[in-house]
Parts: sequence; structure tokens; C-alpha cells
Amino acid sequence: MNDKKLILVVDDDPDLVEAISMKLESENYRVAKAYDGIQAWDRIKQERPHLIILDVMMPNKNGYHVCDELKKNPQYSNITVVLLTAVGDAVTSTKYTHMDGKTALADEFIPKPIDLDNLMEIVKDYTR
Amino acid sequence: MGEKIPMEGVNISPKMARVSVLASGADLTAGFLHPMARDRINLKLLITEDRIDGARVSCCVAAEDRSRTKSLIDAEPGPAQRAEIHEPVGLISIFPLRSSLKTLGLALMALANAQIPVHAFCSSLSALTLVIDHDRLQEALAAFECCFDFPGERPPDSNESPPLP
Repeated sequence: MNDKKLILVVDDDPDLVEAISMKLESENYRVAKAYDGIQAWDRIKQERPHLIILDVMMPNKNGYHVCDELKKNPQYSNITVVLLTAVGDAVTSTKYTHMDGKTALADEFIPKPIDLDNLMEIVKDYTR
Repeated sequence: MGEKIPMEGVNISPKMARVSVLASGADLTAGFLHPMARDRINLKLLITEDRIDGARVSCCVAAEDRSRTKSLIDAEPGPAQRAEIHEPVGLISIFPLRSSLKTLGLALMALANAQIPVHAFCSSLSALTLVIDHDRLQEALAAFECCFDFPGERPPDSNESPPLP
């Protein structure tokens, strides 16, 4: 039995996925990866992660949609979602805002650029 | 043909312009990079090369930023002296690379066999990205599919930025 917690990292930037994954693995987590919202759902169904680090702006299906679908599905609604919000602080004309994130019922919000240490603290808090 | 190397994905960019300028170190920052940042022009794939006669920087900008980029370069006497803009180009990125020379070698061989010129390439933490002519991106993808195994559907042939969801 593998007791390492599984974290799903979802972002369309492969470098960011890799950077977060390396940090998580160094902290003794297992990591699954996805590069868009549709892949994310495939991973969620296949592997049922403990926590999802989910980017907002992605092709195919954005992070808000994935989060919304997840939290409204009783089978998956207890999975913790940390949303990475790159656009909420400085840009007001976009449809992607912090408010959208909050209505998407995510458990936590982290602005980009990401502070990896802050992200790790949040992951540890939610996976204890 | 040996067994295909499993990859996690491939990205294809919309049309871009490759910009190359030759300038002294001070010119490069003040005369090129700073104005680009001030005008909020995003740079993709920034490559710098030290030479005896200065430094050459090559980068890609979105096709719609090409005119603004040209105006900025022309406004600066230093970089404008030896600037080149080549278009349309496109970027094809495969990942993960993880410093694999085999992946790099196979990618370059695949493009060479398909007779697709490579204008520039670079590796990052995860990805190998190559600059080629935009109208040959799908050929490059087909060439890569002979040696790499990509999950999911083939990326669409896009001339524009992907629509926001």
C-alpha cells in the first residue's frame, strides 16, 4: 500500500507542471499531471487524487469549469482544489477573475507567479 | 524504426514573427528589451548569443505584434542597424524533455528527414521547443509522430491564438 498522498497538477505550461511536480516529489508526494481540463478529468477518474492544483486559463476546458463540475459531483466533491489564478490581480476586463474562482467553490486560491513555498504550505495543510 | 518514446504532450503555436537583432550589451537592454517590455510585447523563446561584435538576441513575437515590434526597433538606432524579422514562423514544443539527448536527437533527425529547416531551438525545464516555418508545423508534427507517442488528439492546425474557453 502506497501511503504517499497523490497530487494532481494541471496547467497547460509544461514547465510549470514540471517545477511544481519536482517540488512535490521532493516533499514525498506522488504526482499526476495533466495539461488541460479534459485530461484533468481523465486523471481524476483514473487516479482519484487527494488534492488538485488547478490552473484557470487552459485550452479545451478551463480550471473554473473543472472545479465547478468537481465540486457539484458528490463522488468527487471532497477532493481539495487549489486554483492558480494568474489574471485576477491586475486585469479587470477579463472573464477570469477571483470572483469567478470563488463561485467555482475552490478550497484555496493562489495568484501567479506562484510562490512555491507558499503552495507547499497549503498542500501540507490540506493533506495532513 | 525503433519503439516510439512516450511523451506527455506537444504544443503548436499560432503564427509568430522571429525577430533577431545584433547590438552591444547596453543597446540590447535599453534599445530592445526595455522598449518591448514597456510596450507589453510578449517574447517567446528568447535566445542570446555573445559575439565578438556584440550580442545577438533572437525571439519570437505574436504575428499581431509584428508591426509594433518593427516600429520599436526602427526607433532605436543601435539595434535597428542589424535587425531581421522573419515570418511567419511557428513553435512546436514537445515535453517532457528532462535533459534527454535521445529525445533531442530524434526530434532533430525527424525534422532533418522531413527536410524541415529549424531556425532556432531551445530547451527549458520540461520542454524542447523548435522554431520552424509556420506552414510546416503539421508536417513537423507528423514527423514527430513517427518517433514519439503523444497522448490524446492531434493539436489543431491553428493560425490564431486558441479561443478562451
